[in-house]
Amino acid sequence: MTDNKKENIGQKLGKLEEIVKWFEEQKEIDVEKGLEKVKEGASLIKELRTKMKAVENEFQEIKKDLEKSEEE
Amino acid sequence: MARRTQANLFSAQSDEPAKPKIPRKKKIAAPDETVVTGRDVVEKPEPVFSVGEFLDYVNELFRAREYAVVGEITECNPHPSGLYFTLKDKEGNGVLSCYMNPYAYRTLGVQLEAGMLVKATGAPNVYKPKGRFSFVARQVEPFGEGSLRHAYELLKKKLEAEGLFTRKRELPEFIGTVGIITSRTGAVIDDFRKNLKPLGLSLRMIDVRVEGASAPGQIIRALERFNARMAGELDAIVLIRGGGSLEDMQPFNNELVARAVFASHIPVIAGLGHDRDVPIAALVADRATSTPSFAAAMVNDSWRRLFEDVPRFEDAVFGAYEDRLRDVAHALGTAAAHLAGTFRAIAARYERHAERLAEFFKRLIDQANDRLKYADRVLSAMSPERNLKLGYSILFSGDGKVLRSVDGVEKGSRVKARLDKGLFEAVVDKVEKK
Repeated sequence: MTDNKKENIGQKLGKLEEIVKWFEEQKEIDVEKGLEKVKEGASLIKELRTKMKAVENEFQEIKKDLEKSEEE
Repeated sequence: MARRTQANLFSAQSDEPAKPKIPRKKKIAAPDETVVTGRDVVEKPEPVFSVGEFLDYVNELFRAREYAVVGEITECNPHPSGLYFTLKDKEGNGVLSCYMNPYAYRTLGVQLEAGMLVKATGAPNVYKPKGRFSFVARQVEPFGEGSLRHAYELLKKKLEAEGLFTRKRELPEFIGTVGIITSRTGAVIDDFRKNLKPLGLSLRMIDVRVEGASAPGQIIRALERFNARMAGELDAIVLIRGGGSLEDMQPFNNELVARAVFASHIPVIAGLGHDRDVPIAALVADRATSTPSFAAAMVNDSWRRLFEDVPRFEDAVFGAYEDRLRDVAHALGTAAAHLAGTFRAIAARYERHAERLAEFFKRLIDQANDRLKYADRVLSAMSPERNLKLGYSILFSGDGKVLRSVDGVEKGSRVKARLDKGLFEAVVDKVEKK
């Protein structure tokens, strides 16, 4: 997996965690601001949920390259 | 025919390894050989060699196949020109001088020392300048449980002292591309793949021997290959093999393999089955387990935060907001009820006071009316018109001023009199003062 993809997952989880913290820190949640945060959180959750879906692993045997290197 | 069948059966049932075929690249012929002419077979005289020719001939014959010799090392002298060691039988008096070339010795990956029982594989050779017989070993490996364990302990102690077992790198989060080093045959690769979660991972495998003399070299080349060409792509390398005896696991107790694992820039997960002694390569690896399925679990585990945190965060965000909305709804309900109650109270109070207010205002109005009537009566009584009707009149002087007494009224002056229904003017005829 490329670093970007990994970073994306990590960053999204980080943003989501910040939203959770925001809710935890509020003594009384502002309804309007809270709605904004919920919308942002829902979008992140939706994207992260796609990463949790089952996708078949791709398998490849690197044989010829190794044989070449052995020949070298 | 019967003999050939017997021979074949014998060959098939024999425990001996198959003898390698003799290469026939360059044949050094004996000076004289048997010659067949026509129907007669003529015995030629014994061949005659020069010393050099004979040694070349013998060495050629020796090199035609490989031999394996088991013996205890009595002397072991590493030298820049190679390794010189002596083997002898544990019992009996056989002694064999052995030599190993520097490259073969450097790539051996096993520490040899006197007292160790080893199996040397190679071929005999006579060193021409000295006429000395020796055994040229291509491969030397510890032989027997005791010797294998001793070699294992020696290497373990050595690498431990160098600190190769203490460096443990963190595996990256969300491992997506895995380099696998194992044999394509057998259940190991299937076990590993079967136990991986379907996360859309990219699996790149290099097939290697995991047992035998060629295994260390192949494993090392595979590690180097992944690091040289796929370092930016791979998140981890997985080195896996099923369980086996100490002898079976020798490639993973090889010093060069252990050092190649340590040299890898990509974190290495070792999933090497073993009975008692953890393979040295597993001790050096960043993570080690004893089965391929546990190695797969480690890869899966790198995704744990995603699978655990997303549902938890989802509950936290929506739960907190739902709670807040419930509070607001409750507060609004209470406020509405309070407002309705207030209005009801106001209405009740209004109703209660309305009659009194009405009475109060009516009284005010009656009082006002009474006062108006009284005023009207007073005003009516005091009205000049009423007095004129009663017979009174108002006299005005010639200049229009009301005459309130006879003072200033003289005889002959003109006056004006106002009476009911009109006026008249008159001249004063007489003035009498009282």
